[in-house]
Amino acid sequence: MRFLAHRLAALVAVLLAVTALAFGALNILGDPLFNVVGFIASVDCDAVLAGEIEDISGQTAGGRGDCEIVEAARKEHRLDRALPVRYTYWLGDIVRGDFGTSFKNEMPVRQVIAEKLPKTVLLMVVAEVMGVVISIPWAVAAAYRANRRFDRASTVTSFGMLAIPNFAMGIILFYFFVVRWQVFPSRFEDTDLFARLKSMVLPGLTLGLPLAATYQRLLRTDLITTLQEDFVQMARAKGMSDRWIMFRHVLRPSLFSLVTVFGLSTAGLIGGSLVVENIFSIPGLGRAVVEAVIRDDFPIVLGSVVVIATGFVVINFTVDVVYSFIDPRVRRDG
Amino acid sequence: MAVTDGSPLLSVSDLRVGFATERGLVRAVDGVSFDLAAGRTLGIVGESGSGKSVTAKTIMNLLPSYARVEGSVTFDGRDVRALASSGARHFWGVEMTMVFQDPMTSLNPVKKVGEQIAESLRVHLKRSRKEARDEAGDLLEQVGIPEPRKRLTQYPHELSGGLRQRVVIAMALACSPRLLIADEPTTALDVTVQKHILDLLDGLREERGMAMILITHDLGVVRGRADDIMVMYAGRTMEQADTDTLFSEMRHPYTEALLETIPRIDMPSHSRLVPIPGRPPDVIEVSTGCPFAPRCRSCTDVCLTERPTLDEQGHGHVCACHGPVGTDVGAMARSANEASGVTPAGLDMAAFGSAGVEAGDGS
Repeated sequence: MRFLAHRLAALVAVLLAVTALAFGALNILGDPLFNVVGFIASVDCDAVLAGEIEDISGQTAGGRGDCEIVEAARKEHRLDRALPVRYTYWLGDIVRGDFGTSFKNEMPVRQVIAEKLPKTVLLMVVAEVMGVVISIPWAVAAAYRANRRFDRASTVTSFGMLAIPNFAMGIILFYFFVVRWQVFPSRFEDTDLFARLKSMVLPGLTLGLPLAATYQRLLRTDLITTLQEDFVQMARAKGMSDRWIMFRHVLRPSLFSLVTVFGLSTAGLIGGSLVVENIFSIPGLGRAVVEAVIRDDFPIVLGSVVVIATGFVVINFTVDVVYSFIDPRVRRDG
Repeated sequence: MAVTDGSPLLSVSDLRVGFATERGLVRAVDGVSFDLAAGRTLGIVGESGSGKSVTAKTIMNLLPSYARVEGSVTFDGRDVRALASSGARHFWGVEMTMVFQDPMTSLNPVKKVGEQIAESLRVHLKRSRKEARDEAGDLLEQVGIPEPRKRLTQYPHELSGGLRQRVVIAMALACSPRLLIADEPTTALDVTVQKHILDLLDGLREERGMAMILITHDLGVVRGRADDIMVMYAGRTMEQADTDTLFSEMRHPYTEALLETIPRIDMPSHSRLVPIPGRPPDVIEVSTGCPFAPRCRSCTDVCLTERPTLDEQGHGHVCACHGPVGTDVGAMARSANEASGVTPAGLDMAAFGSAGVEAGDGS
């Protein structure tokens, strides 16, 4: 239990650090006022109010002067307050579930995320499932006859998969399976679960194959190490079959590296999903973030950062818990 | 399935095992033969690298695929090596099993003790989950583990070394094998636990009428437990006899040297233990002479050039030596070496005395 409490405290600390960095960076590097009100943000309101100069729109814009608009925006977004104060307010809103509204189209950020996130999550789940489902039997087959023909061919294949950048992999798959053979749809179809899954096959493969290659490398090595253990000899002396020994004795204690990298690789998947969502026209969070960054739509970017960081931290927290299921000896130290 | 009288349960004949390495062929076992009758115990004794474990692993079909095996192994009339190549199931683990040296590593750390015992029963004897579990509990009780039912759900790391070795023995006995090979079963255990485990093995063997091969580097362990003893060195049999004969009419200088390395209760305290100088030979360098010659205090010129054959000494007692202990030839060779202070192999005779460890010395 103390183990869990420690991990939870670390989880919260990481989230605070990530959001503070993102919030600070966006506010310092960009100009939030400009993004809200546009070029009138540069008006020198003190001078206008003192009657020294005219404002840009010549006093009236639907009855309100530029300065009024600027002031209102300042108040609304608390731009008159210091950065840490603004962060605290923003964090309070987030904790209450208020992610703010988009600067550009006044859409609530929550609604945008609620609409985009499930598609990205589905993509990542499909990719990870493919990675794991492909890599485990592959690694087992390679480790069973290590350094023989199949294992050597696997090494070359897996390095090949890792060497191809995901945009190239995506385009290759898209060309063959969509353009030439027309097996899969060219854009995301959201009609029912089957259609959604079908649309995810190619994007999932694009992200999942390099994952499978990474997992295969790690698991193969760990399996070969575990196969040297005395308890494997003991199981052989008990007359257990090779298959039984592989799956009942060797696989589980060999999963540590795979599980660790499984957690870490989710971060890479978020990056990969930006590319893949564009190639396969999936209206997911990755695309939304890219667009929001280009348009300096802070609330969307920040909201996404919060969601993505939370997801990442929670997955890695889960991985720590999974360790103790793999190896009962870990539980003792908790 | 009773073994007909006269024919042994296990028969190993001219067994040779080699491993091809980058440096050449390593002859780990070089022409070993022995018979083991049902219900009897054979002790195989030798230093590390003498080929005793490889012999056991050959019988158990545990050698890596690159090992080159020649000779024959017959179990109850069946050709064991043919069984291995045909992928026979329900033979190893059922007819014969093995217990390894280190109970800390021979149990799977991520599986409960009960599951590990039950799996043999489920795979080989097709027991149901519940039956297997009940039997596993009974087995733990038989090997003298307190609260056996509770232990079933524990993991190996929750047990002490002695208990773990008992679990390993229970695992090995699950399918009531007719032959149990115990490879240094107590070497990794506390001295206080060693005797318990050896007595347990002996008791179980007698109870079940099982044959046993007890592999050890310690002649003291097999004395009083084994019916027959085979002393191995550099992959070869040096001396082989029934236990009483071996201790009363010890022939091979190596056997004698082995015995002098272990402390005995009947020796006065502070007696010197005599080490065997040098180290076991690299089995790649197959010399033409006796492999023990470089470390032998009765070494003669013949020993360096001619390999001794395994000669009958009477009553099935065989020994491979040019100048056996207790013969005039041997005595003369030894006294000649003592007189000159150095053996024909260049070994300083002082190595047998001065480097000795003072037994019971506080340092």
